[in-house]
Amino acid sequence: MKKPLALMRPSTRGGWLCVGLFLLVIVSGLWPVVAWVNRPVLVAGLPLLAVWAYVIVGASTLAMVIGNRICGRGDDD
Amino acid sequence: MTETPFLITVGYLIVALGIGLYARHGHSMARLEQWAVAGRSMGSVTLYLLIGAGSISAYTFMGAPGWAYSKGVPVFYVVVYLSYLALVAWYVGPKVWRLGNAFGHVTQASAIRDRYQSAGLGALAALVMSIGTLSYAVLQTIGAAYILNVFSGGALPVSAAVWLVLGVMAIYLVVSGQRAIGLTNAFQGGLMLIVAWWVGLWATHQFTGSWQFGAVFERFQRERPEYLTLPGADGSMSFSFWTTAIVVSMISFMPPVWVQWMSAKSAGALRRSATWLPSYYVIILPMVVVGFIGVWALPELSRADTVALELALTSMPVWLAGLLGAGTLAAAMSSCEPFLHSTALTWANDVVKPMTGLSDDATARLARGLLIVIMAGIVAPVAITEPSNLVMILLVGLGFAAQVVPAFIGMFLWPRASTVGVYAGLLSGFVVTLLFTVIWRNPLDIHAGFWGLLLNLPVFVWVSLRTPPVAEEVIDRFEWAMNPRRSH
Repeated sequence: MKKPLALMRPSTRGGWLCVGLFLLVIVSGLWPVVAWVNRPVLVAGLPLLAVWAYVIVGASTLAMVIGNRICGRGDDD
Repeated sequence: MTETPFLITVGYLIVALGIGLYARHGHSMARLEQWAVAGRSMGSVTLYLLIGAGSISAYTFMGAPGWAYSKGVPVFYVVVYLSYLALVAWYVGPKVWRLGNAFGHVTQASAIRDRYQSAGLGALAALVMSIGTLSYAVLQTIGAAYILNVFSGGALPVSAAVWLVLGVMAIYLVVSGQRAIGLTNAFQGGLMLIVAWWVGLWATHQFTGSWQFGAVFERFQRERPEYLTLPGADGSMSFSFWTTAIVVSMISFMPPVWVQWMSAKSAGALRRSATWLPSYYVIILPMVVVGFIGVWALPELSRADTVALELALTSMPVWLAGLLGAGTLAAAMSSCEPFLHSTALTWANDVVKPMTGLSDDATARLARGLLIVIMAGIVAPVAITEPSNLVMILLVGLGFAAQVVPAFIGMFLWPRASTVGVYAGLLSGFVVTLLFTVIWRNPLDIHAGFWGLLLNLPVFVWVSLRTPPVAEEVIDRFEWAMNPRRSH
């Protein structure tokens, strides 16, 4: 076979950074991380788990904003 | 009860019909690409509202307050997985858009058919995905009909309400296709956002005297702290179910989502809309608060998912109750439309067209006809009977959606994936999902679809490595289209 059929991976450091950021955000919403915020306390009047869910909303947006700057150029084809 | 809430709700239907018909203005729907993906013309703001409103179903206005009422904070898993879906849209969406733009794909199954050079695999994916998409459409139709039935004080029977809602959607979907979905969802998305916050703030002020949600949760902290942590008040949301439900939901690439991605005017427009999409999910918070308020205000409620509507009808001003009815109806319809449209489209384009060799124009005509057949012959009769096991069918459908993941792994990550490998993984995963949904439900509190993937993925890899890959020309063509800068 002329061409290796291995996994397609990011080809730049920026690409790897995007993947790393996204994975970090995803892990933040799952066990075991979510167990650390699973307490009956209120933060800014809201349950900690609810606040954490919206922290993930913000972190997801931030990860994509960073992604747009480092590996989203040239998308307006 | 006065007629005002019902009149406001019906008024919303008339406005939605007008907007849906107007969406066609200046465009011919004879072309398949126009009816299917709006001629790949949607900007980032329209896409933001289209995808946001499409993912906010009647669940947000009925199910989410219901979950808050019966379980508490476990309901926030929805916020988390919807945010992750935006990450998936950002990462995968532009690749899907480039493939569609380069090779003329208008559906998910047409991309699968092209990548694996198998009309059979494309048709199989289209048909079995339909189990989930149609079940979802039926659930939304039932929700919409329920609103009209309740707000009319029972004067409008559920069966008549089903036909009314489907009739309105049928008219503008046939006439304006994906353009109608884009424009009506933009309207519905804005309406829902305003209504949800209005209702949430009003209810908080009415029942606590404060405009801040904190007043609601302070009482829970003192008297019912089990509502503030997993596994929730009814003990049903363990860490493992929270985690696997989010993972399975995140990787279930439903066909309407692909159609939405392919409707973008550029990969950049899609990426910009995905970037800000999580912000739309602030819509869920006030409706969840309404559910929490219901725990104290309506302690004897028999159906948890009616908590927001019951609260509206018993204690809110009639105009606000009417707005909530319109918002809930908008949520149900904005989710139902894409699922109906994409099912008709994929049946015509990926099942009938490969067998008969229809032209694109004839396929567009067939898709519009099939839309009517699906609505009148499947969705309406099933919705009117309100089957008790529909949620079960939907769960199997979503579990199956996750089992198609190998097809996407081959498309986006692993060129070595073979057609036979995808078939083998998909079918083995589907059987496990079916067994763990119907016979032994979610063993060890792990989502059935996740169990399916645990068998599916090794089988897919093992079989792929022992069967021939797809022709190198196809793989090169896909890589070139998805990554033009890297390939040149």
